[in-house]
Amino acid sequence: MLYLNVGRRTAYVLIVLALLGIFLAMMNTGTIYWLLCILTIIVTYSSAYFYLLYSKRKGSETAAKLESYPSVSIIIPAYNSASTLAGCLDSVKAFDYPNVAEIIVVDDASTDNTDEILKRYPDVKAIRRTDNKGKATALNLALSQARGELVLCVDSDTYPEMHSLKPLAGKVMQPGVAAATPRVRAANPSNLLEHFQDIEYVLWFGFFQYSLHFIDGLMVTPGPMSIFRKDILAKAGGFDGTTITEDMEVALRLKDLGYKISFTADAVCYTVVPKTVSHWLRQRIRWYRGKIVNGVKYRHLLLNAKNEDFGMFVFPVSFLLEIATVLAFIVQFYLYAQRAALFAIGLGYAWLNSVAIPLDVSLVINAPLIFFLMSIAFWCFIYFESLKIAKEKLTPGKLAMFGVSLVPYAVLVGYAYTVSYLKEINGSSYRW
Amino acid sequence: MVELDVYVKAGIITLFVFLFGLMFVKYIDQDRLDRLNAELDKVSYGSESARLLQLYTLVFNLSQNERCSYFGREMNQSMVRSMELASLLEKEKDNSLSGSYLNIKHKFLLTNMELYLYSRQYRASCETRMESLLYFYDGKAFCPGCLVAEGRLESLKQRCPDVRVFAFPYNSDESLLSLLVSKYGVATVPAIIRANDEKVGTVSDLGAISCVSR
Repeated sequence: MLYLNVGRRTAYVLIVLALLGIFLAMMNTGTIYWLLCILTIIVTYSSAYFYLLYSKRKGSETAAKLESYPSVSIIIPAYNSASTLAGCLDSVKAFDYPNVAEIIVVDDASTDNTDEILKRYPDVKAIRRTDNKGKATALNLALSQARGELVLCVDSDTYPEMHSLKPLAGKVMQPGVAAATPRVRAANPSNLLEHFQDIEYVLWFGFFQYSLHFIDGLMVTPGPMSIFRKDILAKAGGFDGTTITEDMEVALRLKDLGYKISFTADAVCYTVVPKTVSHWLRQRIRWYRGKIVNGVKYRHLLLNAKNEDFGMFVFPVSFLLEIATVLAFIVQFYLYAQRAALFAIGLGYAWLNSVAIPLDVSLVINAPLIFFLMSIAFWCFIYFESLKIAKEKLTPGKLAMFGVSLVPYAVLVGYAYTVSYLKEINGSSYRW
Repeated sequence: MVELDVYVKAGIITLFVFLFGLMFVKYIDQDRLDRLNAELDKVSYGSESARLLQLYTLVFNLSQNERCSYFGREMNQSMVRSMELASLLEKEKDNSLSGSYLNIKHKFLLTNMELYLYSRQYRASCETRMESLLYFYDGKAFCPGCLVAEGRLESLKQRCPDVRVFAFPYNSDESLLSLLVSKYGVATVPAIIRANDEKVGTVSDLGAISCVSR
């Protein structure tokens, strides 16, 4: 008997490679076709669900009016934020909210001139740390000193709109709610990647967050800006310094404790987004891996009827869609890699022959084509609705940018998900 | 569940979308098979004409000249069509989900073999510039060499309009084809046999084939 002394991680990697091998070996026309059909069913069902939910509940949200304004502590963790901190502080100081108790900035041992910026704001309470310990612990430090009934956490590269605090405070003060979230947009998008991210934010924080909040389906309190009931957050243990996505972890923990996360489209903040693909990938891989880690940590919420729609549908389907994205990416990668390999080994004729197949003769292309066209129609609809939620008009320029973003951005997202899942299985170290 | 009706309606929408998608794919698939069948019918006319010509010659004692001229005219057209259909069938090999494709392919192989045999007979009994090549490829596994050979054969056909290529999978389950395979002792592919039963050594040797041959 041969015993292989391999570690758990190596065993996982071997199992994944073996499964991937079997998956690729099975990849003939029929398998690809039926796999695409299954993926299509998942995507179509969730799209239909969100569409129906949105149509049914649109306009039914209750205005969150406050009789009195609870005190709010604004806390801003900052690390090497010299270029954005002043803009952030100016924005939060401009809030039209009558009861801002304090603004606390935790300088997490910045090495740039963040401290110089802070000195220009004597009314801001500055906490300076000598060791860089990360965002979550910086937030916890500020939380322990906050006097307000509510705490508004704002990233130092985020610029909230001045009218955003009232609706957020109104939402978080509703019964059973522990946190409320605003719409997030990209700040001054200039290059193509920033515009793509802005479109993604418009869609996600428009249509999806808006629809999900009706069924208590939100699972993130976005890092750029979120408001919390301080007593509940403190009782829950604050932010988890050991996780890579503390904004999702805290949201899931609050849900686990039975609290709701709310959303208001009337509050909006603008955050700095990655300008380069490598920076974007690093950020996304951290987010997506964080989602997997949190999914494992809070797996008891999955398919748990106690958590109603969130536990039975939203949370599990979010993972199913991610896995579908990874599989779709691998299939596409396999098909194109096969053609690229033919080209690379000098079979130019064969390669041209295989890519020049007209659409009407390729069943593998035809099968998802109809679904592809339908999903484009669906995404156009939700983009239009998301802009309506943002009280913006759909201009030809926006529509053109949206059209341009669809395929390349989907490929990038597919790649980021695939790498994230592979890295997580491999147990690679995390990078910020 | 808070929104049970939403789940049910989403299921119904998904079912409709999925069925619509399946019908769409089925329609395209059928349309393609119909076109392949129509092409195959046109190719079959050639072999049917050749068969009829044989019978006509037997019954009415047709002169050699008349026979060759008719044979050349009818057969040429079918052979060109047959070559086009062969590459179309290969292209579509990976795109078919239904068994109908296999039936068409099977019928085509038999028709193509019949055309090949008639072309041999034509070459033997008539004055012609036509060169017919037998090309064996792998019909079951991926064969990079065959892709190279197909590229070279394509250029040869462009260079020499009188070259006719009859392509057959060397590992087909068709028993008649195995006769041809064993006759020429084909054990590896790509393998190319000239009309004079000479085996083309390597794919690069195709470049040396003269356009006018006997």
